[in-house]
Amino acid sequence: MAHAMAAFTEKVVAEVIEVQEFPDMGNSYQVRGVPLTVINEKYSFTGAANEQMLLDHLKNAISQAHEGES
Amino acid sequence: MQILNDSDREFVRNRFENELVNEVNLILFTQSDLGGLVVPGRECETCAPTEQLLKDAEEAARCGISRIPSFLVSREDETNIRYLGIPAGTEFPVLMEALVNVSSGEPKLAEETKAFLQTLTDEVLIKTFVTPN
Repeated sequence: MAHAMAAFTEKVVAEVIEVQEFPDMGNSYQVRGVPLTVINEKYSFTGAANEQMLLDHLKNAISQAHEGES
Repeated sequence: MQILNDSDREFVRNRFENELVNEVNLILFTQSDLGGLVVPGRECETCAPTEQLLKDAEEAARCGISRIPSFLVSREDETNIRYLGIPAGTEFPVLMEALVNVSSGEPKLAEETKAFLQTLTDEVLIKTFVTPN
């Protein structure tokens, strides 16, 4: 779903990481379950997300980032 | 080695024949063949591999790639759809979907999603950690 968003706009960068191949990344992001989604290196959630759920998480992540700035 | 069995190959072929619209690029970053030509009397065994390494590193940095194997899915020179590792098992359909979305230029998204994405002013990086099964 993130890929579909990235296909719509270059403002979204979507990266899928096969964690068994890069266990060091799994450790540094503390991956305990998959899929784990990390937005802008700060906001994360575990579990499959449909379009609406990902959109809600995206809005939350951006909103939290703005709150942190103010 | 054949990775897809015959029925999967047929499924993939049919889907791509029906749904791919424009050309789409898959740009793979992997290990290069670092062999070089050695001219007798002017041996520089490390020149070619050094040049290749620098070229590879420069291109990978431009594309935001820091690991191999990785690849990009793009129509032109976009670098914002990346895959690190092999898209095997349940991840293969995700790759197919990405190819179809990029090729069509019209990803299947709700109007609400598109409207929100159009308001983005800063880049958003979404990393999804997966396993092949």
